[in-house]
Amino acid sequence: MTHSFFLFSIEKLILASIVFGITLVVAMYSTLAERKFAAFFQDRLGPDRAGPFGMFQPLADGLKFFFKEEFIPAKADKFLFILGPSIAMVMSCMSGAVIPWGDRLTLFGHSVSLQIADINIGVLYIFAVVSLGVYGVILGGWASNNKFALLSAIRASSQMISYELAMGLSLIALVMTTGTLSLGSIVHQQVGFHWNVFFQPIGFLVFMICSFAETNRTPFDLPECETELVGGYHTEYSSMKLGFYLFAEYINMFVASAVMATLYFGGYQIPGISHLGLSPNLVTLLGSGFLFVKIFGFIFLFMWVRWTVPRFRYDQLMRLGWNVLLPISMINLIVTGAILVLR
Amino acid sequence: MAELVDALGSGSSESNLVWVRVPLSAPTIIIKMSTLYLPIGIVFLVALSFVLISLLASHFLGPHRNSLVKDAPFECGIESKDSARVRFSIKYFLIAILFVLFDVEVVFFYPWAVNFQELGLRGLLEIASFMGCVLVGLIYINQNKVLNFEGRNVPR
Repeated sequence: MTHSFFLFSIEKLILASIVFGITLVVAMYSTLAERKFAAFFQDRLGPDRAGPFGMFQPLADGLKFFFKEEFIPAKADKFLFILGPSIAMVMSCMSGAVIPWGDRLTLFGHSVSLQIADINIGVLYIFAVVSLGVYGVILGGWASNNKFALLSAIRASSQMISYELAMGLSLIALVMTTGTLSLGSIVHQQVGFHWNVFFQPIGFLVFMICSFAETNRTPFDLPECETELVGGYHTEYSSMKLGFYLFAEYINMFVASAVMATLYFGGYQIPGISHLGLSPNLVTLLGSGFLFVKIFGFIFLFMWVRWTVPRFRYDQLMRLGWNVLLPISMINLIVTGAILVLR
Repeated sequence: MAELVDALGSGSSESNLVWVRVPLSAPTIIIKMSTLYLPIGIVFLVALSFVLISLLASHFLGPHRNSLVKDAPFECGIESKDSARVRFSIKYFLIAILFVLFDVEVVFFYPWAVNFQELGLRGLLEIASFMGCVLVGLIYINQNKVLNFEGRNVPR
């Protein structure tokens, strides 16, 4: 008993470390991609000094975070000041735990699932972890004892909780069609081209807009709106604690893309691959690759929108969340229910 | 335990749902739950150790040169004035209260949505009446201009 339990723990520890490593690398290179795309959209070159095409720029940036002066303002609440970015970082990494990164792999005669935890409340778990992430922002902003940081923190928290409502409601219509909250089963159901986005286009649109708001990306980046609030809630932060906030934003973007690909775009399922007669392990690896292609597509969309759509005003943001997205997802829910019942 | 781990790891989506319905003794449920949620604990530990190691590393690698001016809160170069622990607008507090109300209502929808296929038309009508009440609430807060953030319409 203890032996198999031990093996199970070791397997999950290795998988968790691999997923964590991939998440960090993707987040690091998203910063480079963001700057490169920004340069492309603005007809510039972007970072090109560190290595060929600036390939080592993220490494240089990461090292710089370690060697910069760590600084806590005199008036700040020291404990909360450190706790804020730590919560933001830990919570953004934890939401990846329930995402099925691939099907099953057979290694050394042992079948391994590429999903860290297939809990039956996966969707609720993601919401719970995303809500906890709000604490990172509000604690950091409040603990800084800086007026800009405080304004930004209360803006960020009210923005994030407002869009969480519409996000939760838009997913209910999806849960009605799938009948389960487990992300593993939701991917299993989307075999072939039965992608949920075809059945829930409006739900997907609302969910996508809300994930832009949840990750504080443009056009909803009011919390770190530099023209009004200097650096937003991380104005007073430096060295790795600032790095955690910036990292958390890119990890959140990565996880949000993964959730969208999983829930609405079939996850790791490649349509029609079962007809090719490939070995199961190869199919699993190709599927994971396909999932990452979808994820990178969404990350590109995040960046594309950033350099295309200007920032909203705060009252427009609130009106969009409460008076447009919330009623739309309610109507979507009822219409979906009516279609499912009458069919 | 061996067969338990196999059953949980077998990837079949229904395996998680089945054990909720079959009556089990309390210790078995606790063991199964802890095996399901153990990986999440592992992910938490991996992330936490990364955060702690990075914080310690940046603490020891970076320089520390404090001064009175440097430790003051940043206010765009002007001498910083008073504390930042000021009263902020009531609007944000109202949003937070409304979130608690509405989010609880959203959570009520989830168990219904999972069992939607079994509950059928009756469930849909019942949830529609519930949603009607939620909508009345939304219209009410709009009538009272709680969500207006600009001009003369701002609530006082």
